[in-house]
Amino acid sequence: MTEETLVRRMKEGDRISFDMLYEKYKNMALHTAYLITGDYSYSEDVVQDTFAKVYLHCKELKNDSGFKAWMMQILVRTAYKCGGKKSRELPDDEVVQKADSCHSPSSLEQVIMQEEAQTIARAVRGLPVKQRTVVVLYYYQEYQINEIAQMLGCLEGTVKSRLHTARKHLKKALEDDFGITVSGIL
Amino acid sequence: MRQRESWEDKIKDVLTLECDGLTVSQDLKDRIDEKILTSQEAGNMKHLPVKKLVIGVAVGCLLISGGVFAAGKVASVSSHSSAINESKSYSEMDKQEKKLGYEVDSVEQFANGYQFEKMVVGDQVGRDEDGNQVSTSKFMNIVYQRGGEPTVSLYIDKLLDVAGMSADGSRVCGDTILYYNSATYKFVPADYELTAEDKVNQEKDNYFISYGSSEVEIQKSATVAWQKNGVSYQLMGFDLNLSADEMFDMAEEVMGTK
Repeated sequence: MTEETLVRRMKEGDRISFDMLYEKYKNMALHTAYLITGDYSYSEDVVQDTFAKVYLHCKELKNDSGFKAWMMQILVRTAYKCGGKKSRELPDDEVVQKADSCHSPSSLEQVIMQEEAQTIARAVRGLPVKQRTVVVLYYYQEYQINEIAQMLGCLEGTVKSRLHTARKHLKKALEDDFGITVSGIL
Repeated sequence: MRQRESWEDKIKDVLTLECDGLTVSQDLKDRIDEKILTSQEAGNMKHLPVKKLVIGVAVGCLLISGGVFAAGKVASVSSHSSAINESKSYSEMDKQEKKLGYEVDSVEQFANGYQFEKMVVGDQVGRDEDGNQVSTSKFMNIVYQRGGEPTVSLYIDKLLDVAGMSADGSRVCGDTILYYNSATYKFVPADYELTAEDKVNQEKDNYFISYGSSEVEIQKSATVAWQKNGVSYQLMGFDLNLSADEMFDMAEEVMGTK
């Protein structure tokens, strides 16, 4: 069954179609919410609120094929409200621990790569929620600038500006930690 | 278009690694279904945070702040009624009281010109702080109108413990205390993003942000509440052209002491 059919049936009140859409997007929604809010319990609350709103307001969705973008808009705006409330509580070395579980640091190169990953992760976590959201949507979800602008209800220029500022912060963090100059935007 | 730098390509990998192994908890879908059910039960009421009492009736939405409920576990109340059950004749009060299960104090007309418009008996559900249903009961709502002014409602039930209400003022009437309370409500769409001013305002005790309306709307509520013979009365409305003293006078008229 196509997503459009599921959306149409959900709009007619079919809970099974809603359940199938939930199953399809639940983890993607959780990951995005987690990256924006920086807190697992908040991210579950965001996903809960998002899917409840999706079901309760699905009749307001005019274009059934635009379901994912519409759902993401609700998710991101809901996450915004949580994202600014609490700073991330993940231990700084969690990324390295996770990396350890996946790859054995058998060489100096791998250790450096993990430290670099840790620096990037820490820098993303340290961004203000609006910049962090744009980074998550652009780099992680791979949305285009215009799609992000639509999702956030702002101008494309605003998204570009937030992305530019975020890049500067991330790049500086890398340079500070590794003592190297990263060519490009600075 | 600018070219991505090599370090940027690593961002997705890093963020993917951060989410590695993260999955939704088993009971999340149950919580979503419960939230949907709660919202549907509340009908077309405007949604408020748990700490506020929400009273929605067929004629609209009435709200009280700082409410404390007689049933200890109840943190919020949602009420609903059908327009089909509305009565537009005050002479049918006996019939409505039978539906409610007890007799109430009321008037057909107030001295200041507010007149009976309609009344309804409906059902209300009390919920604990986790949104679980812990009680059900009936309520009566009587609506009064005066020209084109905002309506005044008299909400009657046995659930609210008015002694626990926050109050801006009070009046003693025999052995009954009347409590006056005012608050500001900002009704906003579900996807509304709070402004800096909103965030400051919602820290105040008498300012509430309510999600679920189709457009942003700010209204001021005024309520006089009292209890008599185990029955709670709340005379209330939004954006009323009435002072606290005028509302106290109206309450006394309902009690039959004025």
